Amino acid sequence: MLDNAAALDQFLQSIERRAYRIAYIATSNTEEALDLVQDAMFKLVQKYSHKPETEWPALFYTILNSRIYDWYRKSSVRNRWLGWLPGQRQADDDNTQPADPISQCEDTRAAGPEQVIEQTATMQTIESALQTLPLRQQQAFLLRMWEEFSVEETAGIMGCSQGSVKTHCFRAIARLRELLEDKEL
Amino acid sequence: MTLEQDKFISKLKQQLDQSAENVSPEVGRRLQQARQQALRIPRKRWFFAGLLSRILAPNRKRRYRIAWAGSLAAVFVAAAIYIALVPGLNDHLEVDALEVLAAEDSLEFYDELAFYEWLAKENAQDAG
Repeated sequence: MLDNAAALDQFLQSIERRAYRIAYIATSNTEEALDLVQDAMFKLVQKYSHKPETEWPALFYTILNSRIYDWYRKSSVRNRWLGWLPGQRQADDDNTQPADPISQCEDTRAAGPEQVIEQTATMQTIESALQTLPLRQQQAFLLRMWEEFSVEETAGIMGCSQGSVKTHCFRAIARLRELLEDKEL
Repeated sequence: MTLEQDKFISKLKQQLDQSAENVSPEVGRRLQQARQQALRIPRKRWFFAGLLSRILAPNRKRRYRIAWAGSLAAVFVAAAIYIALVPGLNDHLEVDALEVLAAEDSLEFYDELAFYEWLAKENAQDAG
């Protein structure tokens, strides 16, 4: 049981930041992205920790993907009904917790300020391009190309056919190339 | 996939990798906290313990939901207590039912009770 806990810890640690990035690209909101990743972690530990370790990545991303779709559906409905209310978005943002002062301290091992600014700008460009993609294309691209799941695994995670995964990926790449053509990556 | 496409994808992957490595310290801390919280959940069999851990997890949205559900439950409980304890609200129902059960009158009399009530009202109106 202890071995299992250590393995789970190691697994979650290895994917948490990438999972957060995927959730952030889908939601464009730090708090929502953290909530989605946390929910996926809970579900994996609670329901699937007894499964073989080799199955954890696909299971985790299946849960995360389904959470992202749920969030997307709910926020679409919420925006439809509450979108006209003034300050709705601001109210959401105001609820963020105050930052921990220790965690805000400068990390001396990190890259220099110019490099950080450059990286951040490039990343923001890429994220903006990814965010313009329809959710299915976004997920197919990130799972297949970034997480390097096979077409079959991606189809399993997304709950669609392998043909759909290929189509979504093809369209996503074409659109990203179009959007990032003149940007220097 | 063409060579050009491969290059483009590998550049994107590289950038995404860097962005995942360089998440802000605050986000890193919150992710670590979420992971530790998740690992404390008792596995599978202990449903209620798992539920409790999830409720106590540092999750903003969940706390709001719990607050709403708790408030709603409190209102229902208060309403139920009020209805059950305040005298006079449902006394007449219980007395009526008890009277009917305990009475020795024939059931036909109770069937016609509505008619007698109506008759009494009519008489009262005529008199008024």
